[in-house]
Amino acid sequence: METITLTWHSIAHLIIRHGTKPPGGLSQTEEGRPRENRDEDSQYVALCREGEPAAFEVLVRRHQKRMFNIAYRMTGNYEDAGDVVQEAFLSAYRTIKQFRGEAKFSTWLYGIVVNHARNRMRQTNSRSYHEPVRFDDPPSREEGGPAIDPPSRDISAVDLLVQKETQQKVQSCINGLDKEHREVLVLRDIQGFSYEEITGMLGIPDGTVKSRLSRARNALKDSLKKVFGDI
Amino acid sequence: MRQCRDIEEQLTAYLDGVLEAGEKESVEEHLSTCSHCLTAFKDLQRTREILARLDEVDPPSGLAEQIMSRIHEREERRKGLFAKLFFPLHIKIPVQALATILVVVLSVYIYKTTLPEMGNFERVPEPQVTGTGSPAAKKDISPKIPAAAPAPQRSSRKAQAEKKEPAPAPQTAAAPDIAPHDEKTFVPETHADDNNALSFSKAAPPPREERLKTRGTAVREEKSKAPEAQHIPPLPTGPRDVRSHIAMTAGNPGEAAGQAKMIMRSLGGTGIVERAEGNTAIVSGWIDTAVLGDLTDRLKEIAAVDESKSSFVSGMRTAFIEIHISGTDSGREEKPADR
Repeated sequence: METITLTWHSIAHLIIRHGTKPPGGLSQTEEGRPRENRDEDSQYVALCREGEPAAFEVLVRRHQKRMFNIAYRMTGNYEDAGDVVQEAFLSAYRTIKQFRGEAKFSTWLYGIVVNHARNRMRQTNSRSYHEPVRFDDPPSREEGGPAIDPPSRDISAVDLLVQKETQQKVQSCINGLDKEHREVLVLRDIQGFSYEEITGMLGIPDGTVKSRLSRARNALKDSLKKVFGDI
Repeated sequence: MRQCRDIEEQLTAYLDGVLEAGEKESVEEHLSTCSHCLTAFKDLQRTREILARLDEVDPPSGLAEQIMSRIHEREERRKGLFAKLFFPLHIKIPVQALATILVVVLSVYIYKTTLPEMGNFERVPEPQVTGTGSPAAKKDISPKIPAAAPAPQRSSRKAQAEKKEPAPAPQTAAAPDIAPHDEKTFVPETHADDNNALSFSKAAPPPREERLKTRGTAVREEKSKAPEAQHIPPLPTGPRDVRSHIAMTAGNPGEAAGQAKMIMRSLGGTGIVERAEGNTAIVSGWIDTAVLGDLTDRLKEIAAVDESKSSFVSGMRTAFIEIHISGTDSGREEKPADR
């Protein structure tokens, strides 16, 4: 009984300690993404496998922000992203006993959220939920669609990113990509995962990741140039 | 131009620093001479920078709580009622293990309760009646044989009557022997106190220890199956007398009968009853056939045993024995043969 009490105390302590810890973005993760989570994840994964939901809460609080950002950048919709993250975590909880620890737990977890986001994109595409932005589309100023400003030579798109509206335009350009291109772009250029990690998450060869990423970047570059004029 | 297209395909890998050394040099050499590809490269660089500088989005507040709430709901559903019953005690016994134990216990119980009764049925067909007495002795016995034939019907009626109304006070061995000399009514009554009257009418009763085991269920079952007992195949040699007889002569039959009762009790006899017919005292009761020899020997010590008029039933573990003690004509007590 004393052991159980200690375990609960340690779980509660870690929930408080790590619950609000921000996940690493690209600026932190390209080379300096924290790696120390691996051991701590495996510790709580082991507790989850023994049927301790409290241990799973630690993992939820630790990874929810990054999971949500992956889902949001892929689906392009805030509400959809929330649903996707919930479903992904529930799915992970159900199948956590199948996680064999061959890869990092976070890689396995982010692979699940990518799958769920992909399914959501498929559903919304079938309902024509999103209006994809095509290069030959006329500039649209309707709400929800990408608002294209006239090209400006005085200020670059990078500098405009401080504005929320500009960020939404970039997201609209991402939404216009094919879903296969979108997911590698989000994972590599926004979330900063390595080629190896992306290969593990998507279950595709390294060469396919590279070729998809090349096409995705070129497509987005053209879309951004269309929207901002000069990037 | 062809070279520019090849270089453009490699620009992403070059940007990420994953090109081989030779390829990297080739790309750098081309970029130093081709302004078109250099512009494309710079655009890709800025595209990547734009994506990297996108703000992180905060998840909706309470997302973790919603997730955990759904997980707890799922856990509650999964545990179900049985787990809830055991959860407060922190006993985690799988339902399958409990069910297995229950089935095993039930099986053993049913096996134990039905086995002795199966044994009774197996012992019934024992047609041989071997008596140690002479043909004359058998003649003495033969008139009593028909009494056993109608016994099932009579005894079953008797058992039903006992169910309906309180039976007369059962005669125990210690009770005074005032029963009438009527075999048909006497036989069931003597065993009514043992709750085993039907077993006597059908065949030999099971040994005492088995009767104890089957007390209750077995007797009820036999009572309910009394009409079915008639379907048992008839014995090839006709009705069978299950009684053993010992004929004795003594100067004082009453006194000898009292001593005989004591001997029977000392040898484990049950249902011992004494009655008188004129100058003859009759002591009857159930006794283990293994001690019949001892019984005869000890009876010889108190009075003369007429072995020619005695008969014993074999093939059963428990026998119903009648000891007929006749008074001597002269009125004087005969000395035991071995005294």
